[in-house]
Amino acid sequence: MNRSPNNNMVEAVTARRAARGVRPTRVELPNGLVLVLHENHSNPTLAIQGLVKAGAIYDPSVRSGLSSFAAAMLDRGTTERTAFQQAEALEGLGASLHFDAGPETVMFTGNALSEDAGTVLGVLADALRNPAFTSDQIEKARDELIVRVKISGENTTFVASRAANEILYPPEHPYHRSPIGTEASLGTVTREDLASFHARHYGPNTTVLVLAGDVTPESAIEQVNRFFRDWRRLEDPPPLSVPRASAPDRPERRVVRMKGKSQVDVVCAFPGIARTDPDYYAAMIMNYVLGGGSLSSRLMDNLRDKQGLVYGVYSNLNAGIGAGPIQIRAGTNPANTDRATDAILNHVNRMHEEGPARTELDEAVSYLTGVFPVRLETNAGVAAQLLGAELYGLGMDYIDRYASIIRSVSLEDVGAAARTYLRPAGYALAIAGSYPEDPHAAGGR
Amino acid sequence: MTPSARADVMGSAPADAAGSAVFETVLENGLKVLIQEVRSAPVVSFMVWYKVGSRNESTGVTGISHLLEHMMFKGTPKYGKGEIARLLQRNGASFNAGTSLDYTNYYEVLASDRLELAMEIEADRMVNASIPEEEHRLEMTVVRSELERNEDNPHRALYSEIFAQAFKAHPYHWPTIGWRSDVESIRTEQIREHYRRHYLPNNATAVVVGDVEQEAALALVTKHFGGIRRGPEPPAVVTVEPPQLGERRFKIRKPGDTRYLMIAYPIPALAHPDNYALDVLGIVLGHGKTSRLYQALVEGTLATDVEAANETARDPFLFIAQATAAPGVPLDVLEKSLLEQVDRLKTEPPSRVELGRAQKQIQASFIYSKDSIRSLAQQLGYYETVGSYRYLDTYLDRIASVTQDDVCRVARTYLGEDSRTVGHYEPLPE
Repeated sequence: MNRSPNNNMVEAVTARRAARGVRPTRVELPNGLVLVLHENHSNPTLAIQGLVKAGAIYDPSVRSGLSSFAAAMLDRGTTERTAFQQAEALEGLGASLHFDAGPETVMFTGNALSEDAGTVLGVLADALRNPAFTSDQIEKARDELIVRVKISGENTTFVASRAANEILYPPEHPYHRSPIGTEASLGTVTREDLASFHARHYGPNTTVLVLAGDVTPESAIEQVNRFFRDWRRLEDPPPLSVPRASAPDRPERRVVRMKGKSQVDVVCAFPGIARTDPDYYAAMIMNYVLGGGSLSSRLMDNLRDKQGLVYGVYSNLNAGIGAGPIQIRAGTNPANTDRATDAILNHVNRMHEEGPARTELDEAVSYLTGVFPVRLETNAGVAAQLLGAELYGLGMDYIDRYASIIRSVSLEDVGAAARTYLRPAGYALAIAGSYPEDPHAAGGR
Repeated sequence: MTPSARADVMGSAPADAAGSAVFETVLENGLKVLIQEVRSAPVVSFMVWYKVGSRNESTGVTGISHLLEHMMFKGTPKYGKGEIARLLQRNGASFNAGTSLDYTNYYEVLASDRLELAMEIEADRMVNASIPEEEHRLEMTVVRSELERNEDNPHRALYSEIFAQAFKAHPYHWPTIGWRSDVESIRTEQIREHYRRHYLPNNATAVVVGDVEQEAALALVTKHFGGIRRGPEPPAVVTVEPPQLGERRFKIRKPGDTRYLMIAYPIPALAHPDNYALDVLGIVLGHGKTSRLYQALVEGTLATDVEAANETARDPFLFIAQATAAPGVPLDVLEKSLLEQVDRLKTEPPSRVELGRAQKQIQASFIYSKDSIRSLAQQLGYYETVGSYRYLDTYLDRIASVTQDDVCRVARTYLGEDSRTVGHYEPLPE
């Protein structure tokens, strides 16, 4: 039994939420579009979030970045509005809408004053449904995307992470490629590529829309119907699935030397876990104890506080539809690279062999259950949780069940997750920056 | 981004439907207390803001405020090393600290029934931080790593250099993280002295926003902070930046692939009334896709990204416009085009539509910020530290009263050729 002091608090919080009648509403339109709604009338604003199942996993292998290119065209003119008119419609209301292509889905996020909800939903529907793909806007987007690739290519964190994925996943696997593409692949994308990608992947039955804030179910459903109801269902959308990659049978190390950098980034990566895997919560707690963002994780405590080797060291689960990589990342002075790497690997070994201690599990449960209501403090925070719940089929009562799910994870479960997912026998190790073997690089400057 | 990032300027909430009016008091020891009840979630935000940042440093000890902030997590006699973080985590708190030009702050966001824990910790470390020498030595690698991370970031490098050029005398000259050699040579005893001099109730503001009764919150603040002794007023910053008498220009050359342009103009201190029109000018010129710079430079295929903003601070700071060059576009071409847009606003006022759109964006961002008790607390604390939180009471009205001619006038007054600093980030071929 976990006797952490937080249990009562979380229950009290959940009870108060329920008492206010804040339960999400989920509606599926006849064309398959899913709308999830959370009412909160404390402020006259609305957080808009959602996704389209049109991410980089659908990029043809010679057209990496196509998904992000298509997403970049959504606010660059439609058959109804020029790019300027789209921006004008939003900025004139102080509203915003952003589209961001990820490995599996294209996410959108926005804000509107509640009185403007209808107008903003109209702009959103138009952007998703009717992008114009004019040639001048295609060229501008291409330049912007290529500059983004170049900027990322100068960033040691990005380069190390990309190299680790290239080691971990075979070339035909979608995670092998970077979702933002390459200068070469972006250079070959045509209007036809973009239009047919859009036609194949953007539809009501691949779209989820979450609204959280000052709106009633009646008016939200009416507005969403008004703008999305006659969107034609996709006949045969491709499945949203990612093949499993086999775990590497040995460690593989790659160094990418970059000139003029003061830092080195180290990424140690393992094949991870899907969000829907029954082991997910055990793996999530294991990750938290190891290096999941807290100041007192094992890695932070050792590499930052005890050894003073890094500013930050974090481990991430990256659990999505597919088993994204478990990545441990650290930024360090070039002279400390090897010490930092050894320390990371030592902690991986220890976690693999021993799992967490009872007190570590208790503290993790206490933190995760306690901080959950803090994350739900904003409409955007609630919307993000509901969007995840819908995408991964966690149920509309997920927010209320969260604390009891976390508390049901046993020490044995977490130990088993560590043995399964952190296997020191096979991993990818990528190092990017001014690594000292390079004669041009000194330690810092 | 910058120390006085947009978020500081854009949005806060005077009292209204989203929460109670702000309650203000000063304890006998001089601690300013601001409390606002907001019942949108069972969560409370507690912050302590100290009026000390890189502004209060001098050459030789630049970066000491930031270093001290790091040392504040190393414990007190009551809370051992690492225990503050562990205790807050066990209680499900989101917490951190930050150092900037004008302030150092510490915050916790947590379930409202845990408020007292946050206060206990902050009251304790206002006076009892241990700052052990051995911890300072270990933390140096961490701070070095942060310095290096900044050096590798082209935007940070440009900001750092533009501050160094635009301010010759005033302490805004150095980056908040400090000059590397200073940071390396600061002694533990100097950190302790900086702590004793500036971490005083009479140099701080405690902010409570969220699901809490005002009387109860005040009783808790008084219980934990009331017994702390007032200290001598910290020394005032007397240096005033002399007027700039001609354009300044610099170039940064490092291996890389992307060109960046940054142009800065001195503007008056936050309290100056021209800042309302300058805030509007920043949006008209370079915030959002309808802005002048986006339409001319990005739609004109010279840049892939632009931004302009009036960056206010306690003392006179900078209006900054910046752009990322599109592939193959030389920086002097980009610069010429950017300056054309700046010059146009000096003679031709923005249209009524442009003005209205900018005002609406500022108003809406104020309302959005009320979605989060953390951002509400952040704004109260920030404005109280650099001036007064009352600034927020009238801010929206002042923005609404900005006219087309006001925008034109402040463009003419402040965005002059002789007062600007122009920075080019021109990569070396790899």
